Amino acid sequence: MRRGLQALAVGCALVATRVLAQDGVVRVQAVVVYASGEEGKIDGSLTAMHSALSTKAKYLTLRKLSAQRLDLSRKPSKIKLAHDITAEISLVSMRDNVAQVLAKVPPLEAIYQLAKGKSLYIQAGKMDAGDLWLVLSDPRSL
Amino acid sequence: MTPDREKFRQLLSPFIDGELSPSDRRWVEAYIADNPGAAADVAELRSTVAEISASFAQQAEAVDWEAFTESVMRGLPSIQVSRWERLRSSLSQMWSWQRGAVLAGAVGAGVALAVAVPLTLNHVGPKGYGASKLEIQNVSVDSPASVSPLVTKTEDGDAVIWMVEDPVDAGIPDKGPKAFEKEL
Repeated sequence: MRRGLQALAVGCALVATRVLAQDGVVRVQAVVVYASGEEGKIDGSLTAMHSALSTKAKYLTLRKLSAQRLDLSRKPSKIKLAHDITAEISLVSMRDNVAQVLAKVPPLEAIYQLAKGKSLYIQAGKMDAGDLWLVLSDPRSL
Repeated sequence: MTPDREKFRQLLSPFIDGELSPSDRRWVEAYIADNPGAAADVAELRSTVAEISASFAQQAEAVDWEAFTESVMRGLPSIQVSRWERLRSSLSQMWSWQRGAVLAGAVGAGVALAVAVPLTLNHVGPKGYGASKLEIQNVSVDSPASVSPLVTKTEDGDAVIWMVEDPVDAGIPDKGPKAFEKEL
C-alpha cells in the first residue's frame, strides 16, 4: 500500500510541478503565415486571421509555414522567417500580471502588452507573390 | 487380541462419530455382524459418549458467559491507542481486504487532481495575460527603411501592424517617412 500511495503522490507532484512550471513563464504562440491574393486555400486554423485582415487586404491564400511556442525572457527568442529575416521576441517588463513584449521584425520594432485570448498580426515583408505575416497569440486561446 | 479385534477397537470411536471412510465403515459393520460382542462394545461406547455430551451441555448452561466475557475484558491490559495508530490500522485492514477499491479510489483521485489543477490554473489564466485589451505601446521602424507601420484594431480586440510603402496612398496621414504610430 505504501508503495502505491508513494507512487501516486509522486505522480501528482510531478503533474502539479509541471503545471506550475508552465504557469511560471510568459508564453506566446508564434505562427509564421504566408498570405497571397492568388486563388488558394485558407488554412482552417487561420480563419480568424483572415477575418482580421479582411478590412484592408483580400487574401485568398493563407498558409501556415511554422508555429512554435516561445518562453519569453529578457533574452530575445529568435524566429526564423521564411525569407532571410529573423524576428526576435523578448519580454520587456511585467506588472500586475500584464506582460510588455518587444517584437522586432526588421525593420519594425513594436512594444505591446499581452491580453488574454488576443493576437497581434505583424506584416513581416514580401515573399514570392504574397506577404509574410508573424502572428503572436495567447497560446491557450488557440 | 486378534489383528481384526485390534483394528475394530481403533475404528470404533470414529465409527460412532461418523468419521470413517465408506470402506472402513463397511468393514466395521461386517465385523459387528460377525461378532455379537462387538455390537455390545458399540452400544456401550455410544452410551458413554451421550452421557459425556449431556454433562458438558449442563455445565455450559450453568456458566454465566456474560460475566465471563466481562471478566476477560477486565483482565486485558489497558492500552492507549493514538488516533494515528487507529487510522493506520484501519487503512491497513482496508488495504488487506479492499485493495481493489482502495486502488481504484486512489487512481480516481489522482486523475481528478491532475485534471482539476490545470483547469483551475487555466481559469486563472496564463502568466502575463492579465490584461483584457491588447495595447500597442510603441511602433517604429529603422531609419533607412522605406516602409511605415500602420496599426489597426479588429472588432475582436486583436491588433494588426501593416507595413505600408506609402502612408498617403494607404489613406494614412503622412507623419514622416520613417516612423508612424497610430493611437488605438
